[in-house]
Amino acid sequence: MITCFLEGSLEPVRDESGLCLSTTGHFISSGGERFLHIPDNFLDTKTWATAAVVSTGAIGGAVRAIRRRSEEETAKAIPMMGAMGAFIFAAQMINFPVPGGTSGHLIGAALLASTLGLAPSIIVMSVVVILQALLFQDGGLLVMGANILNMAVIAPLTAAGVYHAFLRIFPRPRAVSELASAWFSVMAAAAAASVELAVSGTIPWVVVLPAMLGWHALIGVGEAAITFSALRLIHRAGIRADREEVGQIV
Amino acid sequence: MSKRPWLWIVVITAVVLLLAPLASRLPDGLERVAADLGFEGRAAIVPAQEHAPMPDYSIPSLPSSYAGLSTVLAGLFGAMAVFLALKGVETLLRSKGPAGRPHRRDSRDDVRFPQGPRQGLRQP
Repeated sequence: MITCFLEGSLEPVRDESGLCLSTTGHFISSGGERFLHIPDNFLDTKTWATAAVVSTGAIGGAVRAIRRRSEEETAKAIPMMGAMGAFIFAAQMINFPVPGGTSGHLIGAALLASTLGLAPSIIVMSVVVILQALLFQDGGLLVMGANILNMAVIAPLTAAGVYHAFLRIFPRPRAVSELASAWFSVMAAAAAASVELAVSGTIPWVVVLPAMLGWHALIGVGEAAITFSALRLIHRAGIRADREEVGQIV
Repeated sequence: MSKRPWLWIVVITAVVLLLAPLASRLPDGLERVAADLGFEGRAAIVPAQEHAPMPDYSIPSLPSSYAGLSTVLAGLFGAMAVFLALKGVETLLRSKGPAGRPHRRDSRDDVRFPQGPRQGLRQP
């Protein structure tokens, strides 16, 4: 049974067709689907449009950063983008339970940043987010730019920044920096999603920010644990970004 | 192992995909917050996305009794799609533009193309 909702309203609407067809030009959603990324109608036009522009710019910047480097410099990371993307996609499917009746799944920004470096991470993660929306209905189409911004731009940038900062304070073991970058990247993505929801007028930020950060503080622990274990496996294959590559912002 | 690192990653990916049916069905972080704060019902699917081939990481034509297989197959197709898409991106990133011209000429590129930057300006 499909429940239909009018745009911006929580009142269910009876729809004879059972298809949630819109006659008014508004969205009518069918409830009941699960979503892991931001679905359409959670953000308003100005917010998702701005996010799309910023994400496009960031992807362009990442492409430019890679192409500016010589073939020798990118010889290690570039051929691994496909395999690492497939791995991140698969790992994102594994939802793990966290205390309190919620689940979380890996984003993988820190994992990518410390294997491929920052710029390839942005591109790999963008492709993952785009295909999740197109093939699996996971994440909206209009809000795709916002999902890319949160998980493919802000999360890898935070992961790389935190990794670099922590390496200065705790040069050894590197695991400390890996764990911290994973946790902070999840928190940054959750904070960004909260800001987008608040700016859209969907929910006040004083309500949504603590709720999102609270749950994602727990999910971030899972992210850190999975990142740490997966990196041990992946480093065995010799896939490891240099310290400079991880921290290289441009 | 380190001679073909991508093969190692493909093996790990296959193992992870086989574990996918064991994933928790509890609401995801964002889903939980949306439900708790009462805006979950706003979620909409735009018409263009309604007929996504594998909604909710499952194969629609498989009966629900094959939910596990459905998830593994959907994951396999998705992983292959991501792999192939990124292989295309890799090719684009490696190519240096028409006639071997560096995409962006800077001092470093000039060292790698000792014939000098003007070489690339010749049209084929």
